[in-house]
Amino acid sequence: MAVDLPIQPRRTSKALRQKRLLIEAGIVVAIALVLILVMPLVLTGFRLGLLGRFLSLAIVALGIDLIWGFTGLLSLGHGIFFALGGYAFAMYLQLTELPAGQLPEFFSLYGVSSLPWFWQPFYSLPFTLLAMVAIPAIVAGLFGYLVFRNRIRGVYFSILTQAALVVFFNFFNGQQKLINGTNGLKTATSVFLGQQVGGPEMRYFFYVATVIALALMYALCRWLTSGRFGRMLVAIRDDENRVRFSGYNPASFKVLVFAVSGAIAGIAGALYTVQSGIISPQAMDIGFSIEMVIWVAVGGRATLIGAILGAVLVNIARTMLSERFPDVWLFFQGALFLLVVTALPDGIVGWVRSRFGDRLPALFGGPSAVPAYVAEMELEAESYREKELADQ
Amino acid sequence: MSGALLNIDNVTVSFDGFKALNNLNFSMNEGELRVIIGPNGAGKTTFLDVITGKVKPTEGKAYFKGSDLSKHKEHEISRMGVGRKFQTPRVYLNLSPRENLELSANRQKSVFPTLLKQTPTPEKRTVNSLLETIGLYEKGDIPAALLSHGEKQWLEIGMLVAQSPDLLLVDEPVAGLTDEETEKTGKLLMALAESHSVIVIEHDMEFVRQIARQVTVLHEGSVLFEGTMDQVQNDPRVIEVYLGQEATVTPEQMLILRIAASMAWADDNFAPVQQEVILSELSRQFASDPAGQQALREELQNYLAKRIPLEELVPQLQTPQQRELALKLSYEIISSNTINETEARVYQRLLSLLDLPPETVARLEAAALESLKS
Amino acid sequence: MIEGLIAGLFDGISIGAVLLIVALGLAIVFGLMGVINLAHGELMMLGAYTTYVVQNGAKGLGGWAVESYIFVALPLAFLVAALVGLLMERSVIRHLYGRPLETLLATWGVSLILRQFVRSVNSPMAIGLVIFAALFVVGLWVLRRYTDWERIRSWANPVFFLLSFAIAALAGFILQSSGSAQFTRAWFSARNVDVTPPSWLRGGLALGTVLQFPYARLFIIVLTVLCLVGIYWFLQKSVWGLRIRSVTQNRSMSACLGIPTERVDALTFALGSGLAGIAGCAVTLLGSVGPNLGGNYIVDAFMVVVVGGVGKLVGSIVAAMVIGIITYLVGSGTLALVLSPFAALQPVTDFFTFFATTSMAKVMVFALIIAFLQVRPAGMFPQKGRSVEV
Repeated sequence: MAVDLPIQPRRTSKALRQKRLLIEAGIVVAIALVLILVMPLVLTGFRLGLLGRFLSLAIVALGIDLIWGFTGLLSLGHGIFFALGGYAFAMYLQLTELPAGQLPEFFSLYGVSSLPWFWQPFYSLPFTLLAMVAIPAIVAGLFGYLVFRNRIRGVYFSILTQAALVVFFNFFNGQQKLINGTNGLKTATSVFLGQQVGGPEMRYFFYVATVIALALMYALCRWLTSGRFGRMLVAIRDDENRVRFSGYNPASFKVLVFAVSGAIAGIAGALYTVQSGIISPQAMDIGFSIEMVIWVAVGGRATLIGAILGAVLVNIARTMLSERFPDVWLFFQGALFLLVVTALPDGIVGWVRSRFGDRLPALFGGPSAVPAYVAEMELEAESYREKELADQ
Repeated sequence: MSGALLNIDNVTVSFDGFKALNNLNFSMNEGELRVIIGPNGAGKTTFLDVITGKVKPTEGKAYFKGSDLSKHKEHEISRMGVGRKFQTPRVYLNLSPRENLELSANRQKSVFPTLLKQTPTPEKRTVNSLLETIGLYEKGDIPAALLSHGEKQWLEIGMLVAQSPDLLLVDEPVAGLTDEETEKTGKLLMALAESHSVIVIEHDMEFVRQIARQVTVLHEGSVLFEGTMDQVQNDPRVIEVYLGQEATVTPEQMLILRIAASMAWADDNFAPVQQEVILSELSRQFASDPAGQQALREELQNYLAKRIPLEELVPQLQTPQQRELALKLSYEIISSNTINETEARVYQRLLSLLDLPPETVARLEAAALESLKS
Repeated sequence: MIEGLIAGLFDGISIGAVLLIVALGLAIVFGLMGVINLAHGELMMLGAYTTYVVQNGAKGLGGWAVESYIFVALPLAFLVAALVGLLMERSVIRHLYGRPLETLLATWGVSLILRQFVRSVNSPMAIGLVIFAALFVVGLWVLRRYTDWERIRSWANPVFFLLSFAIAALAGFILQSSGSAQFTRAWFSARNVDVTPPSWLRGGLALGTVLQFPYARLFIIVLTVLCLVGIYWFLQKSVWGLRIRSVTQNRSMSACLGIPTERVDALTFALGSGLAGIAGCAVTLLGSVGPNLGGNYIVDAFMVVVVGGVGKLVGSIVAAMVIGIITYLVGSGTLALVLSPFAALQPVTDFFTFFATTSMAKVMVFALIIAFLQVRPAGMFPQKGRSVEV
C-alpha cells in the first residue's frame, strides 16, 4: 500500500541548496571562531586542554560515521589508525632537536645502539605530516581490500577488525626495541617549532589546529556524503548486491571510504597524542575502539553533526562521572550502549529531528538520517529476501 | 551459434551434488523477448544467476556477446550490458526513486568518476523521463521505502532500463501484484522489448500469454521444450510436468482436440452441449473400454480452454484419416446447437484448409449428423 | 626432536581445546541467530568466579570437598552463565533481531556492566539488585493483572523501570552508608584471585623423561570432548535440538510449522552462555581469575568462528585445533628450534624467531587467517547453494 506522506520531498532548487550551503559554511566558521577565540577566555587551561582532546576524538567520530553511519561497515578497530597517526607524530617528536648521532633515551634501556631503519624518515617534518595521514590510510586500504574483495561483511567484518586491533596491540606492546613497547612514546617534553610541546603556547597552538582540522574534516565528510558518492555509500548499506548488479564494484567504494576513514582517524590520533602528551598501545585497547562507535550512535549516525556532538558529550559525561564516581563510569557506559541501541537508535540528532521535524531547517542535514520506520521496512524487505533465498 | 546474444553451452551447476542446472543449452538472439517457465525448483533463478555471474557454472560455458561470462565478476557483466531484476523488489530504500535511478543511469561506474563528477544533464533528463514512464514522477523525491510493492517493482525495472542494458533479465515481475498492476507491468515489459532483448521468468500463465512470443520450459535443470506459447501448451511433456500426470493422448490426438475446441469457440460461445459432444466423441475414438473412456474424458477436459487459430493447427495434421476425423468432429460440434453465421464462416475456412474432396465432405457430414442423433 | 614435536602437538591441542570450548557457545549462537555475543568472555568470567566461590565453600567444608569441588562447580557455572544469558536474551537481544551490528554493541554494553559488576559488587549492591528485581517483577505482574497493560505499556514500562531502579538504588545507597565496613566490603577484589585446582589435577602424566602431560590440560581436553559429545547428542537426538537445527536452516519456515522460534532463540542463547560458563570454569585450572579474564580468550574464539564457518560444528573443531597448534608451534619457538639446524634456512628461522612469543604468534596467526580467507572467504565448511549470500 502506498503511504500518504507525512514528510516533505527532499528535493530543493539549486539556488536554495547553494544558499543553505553558504549558511552552513558560515555556521561552521562561526563555531570554529567561537571555539578558538571565546573558549580560551571561558575555560581554564586544563579544561581547554580537555576540550581540545575531545574535539580531536570528534574527528575520529566523523571517520567512524562515514563508514558505519553511511556505509554500514561497523569497524571495531579504529584504534589502529588512531594509534598509527599518533605514533607517526610522536616518532617525529622523539627525533626533533636531538643532537646528531644520539638516540631517543628509551633505546638505551634495551641496549639498542642504532636507530631502527623505519625511524629514519621521521627526521623530516613533511614526511611525518604525510605519514600521519598516509600510513593509516594505506593500512586501512590494504586491510579493506583483503577483506572486502572476498565479500566479508557484517558481523564478520566487525570481529575481523577487532582481531586486527588486538594484533596491532600485541605487536606494538611486544616490540620494546623498536617502539618502546608498552611504555609508549612521550611527547610532552619534546620541542616542536621551537617550543615545548607541553607548554602553554604549544597547547593553544594544537588546540587551534584541532579546531581547524575538525572543520576541514567536517567539510571533507560533507563533500563525500553529499552528491552521487554519498548516495552510493547509502546504496551499499541498503543493498550491496543490487549495487553489484547495477554495474558498480562495491568493494572499491568500500576500500576507498575505509581508507579515508582510517586517514581521518590518523589525523585525530596525532592531534590527540600531542595534547595528551603520550601515545602508547593503550590507544589500541578494545574498549576504546568500541567506545568510538558509541559516540556516533549517541549523537546520531548518518548525521555528521551527530558524530561530533556525540563524541564531545559522551566524553564530557565521562570526565564528570569518573572524576566523582570512578566506579560508576563503566556501568554508565554499558547502560549507554544498551540505551542507545534499543531506545534511541537514531541518536540525539534523530530524536530532535523526529521531535521537531521540519521546523528545523536541515542545515546540517546531509542525507537525512535513517528514520526508524525506514529501518523497520528494511527488516520487512529482509524477510522478503529471506523468502526469496529460501525458495529453492 | 555466432551472432547469438546469449549462448549457454552445456552448463551444469551443482551444489554439493545437487544439480540445479543439468547440461543446459540455451541460446537467444538480439531483440528477442523470451519467457522462461518451469515448475518450482526447475532451476530458473539459478539460470539467471549463471548469466549474471552470481554463480559460476560447475561445467560448461556461458557466453554473452561472444565473451565467456565465467571470467567476469557480477559488476563487470552488468557493465557488459546485462541488467537483472530480482524476484522481490530490491531498491535502495533510503534513497529517493530519483536517486535510485541516477545511480543506475551513471555511465562511469568506477570510484573516482562517481566521486568527482556531477551527474550530467542528459542523464538527469533520462531519469526524469524514466520517472514519468514508470509513473513515479510525483513520488520521485521521497524515500523509496515508502513506495508500495508494485511501485518498487516498477522502480527496479526503471533502474534496469536506466542502466541501458542490451539484455534485461526479469525474475517474476508480477508476483504479488494486483491484476491492474500486472497488466501495467506487462505493457511496460512489451514496450521495453521493442528496444531490448528480454528474458522474463514467470509463473503466472495468464501473464505469460499476455507477453510471450517464444517460451522456454525448464525442468529439473534442463530445457524441456522450446517454442511458441501454443506449442508449449500442446506439448504433452510440458503438460505432464505442470499437471504432474503423464498425458495419455498423443500429439496427434491433442491436435484434433485443439481443432475441435477452436471450432466450439468459433462463435465465442462454448456451449455445454458442444463440450459434451467433443468429450464423448473423442473418448470413444481414443479409448476402447468404458473405464478408460471416463478417465480420458476427465483428462481431455483440462485441454479445452485454449483457442488457437485454425491456420496454425490444420497444417500440422499428417494423414487423411486425421483430417477426416477433424472434419467430422467439427461438423458435429457446430451442428449440436443451431449453426449461426460465424460458425458457418469458420467451418468454410476449415473446409478450405483441410482441402478434402467434396464427396468425402458430404459423406462425413452425413455421418456426423448420424452420430449426433444417436 | 620427535618428542619435542609430540609435546608441541599436545600443547597445541590443549590450547585448541580451550579455544574450542570457548568458541562452541559462540558458534552455536552465531549459527542460529547471526549474533556475535561480545559478552561471551564475561559470561566465562562469571563461570570462573562461580568456580572460585564454590571452591571457597569447599575449603570451608574441607576433606573430600576440596578434591571434588570442580564437579559441583561445573554445573553451577553452567547454570549461572546460562541464567545471565537468558536474562540478556529476554531483555535486550530479543529486541534486536535482524540488526546484528546493533546486537554487537548491546552485548558490549552488557560486558562492560558485568565487568564492573564483579569489581564492585558488595552486599548493599546485591540487596539493591534483589529489591529492584522484586519490585519490577511483582510490579509488572500487578500492572498486567489490574490495568489495561497494552494501552499504558509505552510509557508505563520505562517509568516503572526507572521507579523500581530508583527505589532499589536508594535502598542500596542507604545500606552502603550505614553498614559496617565488613558489610560493605566488595565481594571480590578488583585484583585477580586464584583458584587452587584439586590435588589430583596438579602435576602431570610423565611419559619417558621428556614428555609431560599436565593433568589440568588433559582434564580440559576431556571436558571439551564431553561438551562436544553432549552438544552433538543434544542437537541431533533431542526434540529441542531438532528445533534448533530447523530454525538455524530456515527461520520463517520453522515458524510456519509451529516451532516456537522465540523460545528456541532463548534456549539456544542460554545454552551458548552456559557453555561459556563451563569454559570459564575450565580456564580457572590454567590461571588466575579476574574481571578481564574473558578478554584474553574471546578474540581468538571469534577467529575460530570466522575460520570454521557457520552452521557446522566440525568447522569449529578443526579451526580451533589448527589455530591452537599453529599458535603453540610458532609462539613457543618450537618451529624456529626445529628449523635451526638447517643453516640454509637461516632467514626463515630468524623470521620464526621474531614471532616466537605468545603475543607475536597471534600476529602471525592473524596474518594466516587473513590469507586463508582469501581462499575460503566463508570459512572451512561454508554452506553451499543458491541461498547463500556471502
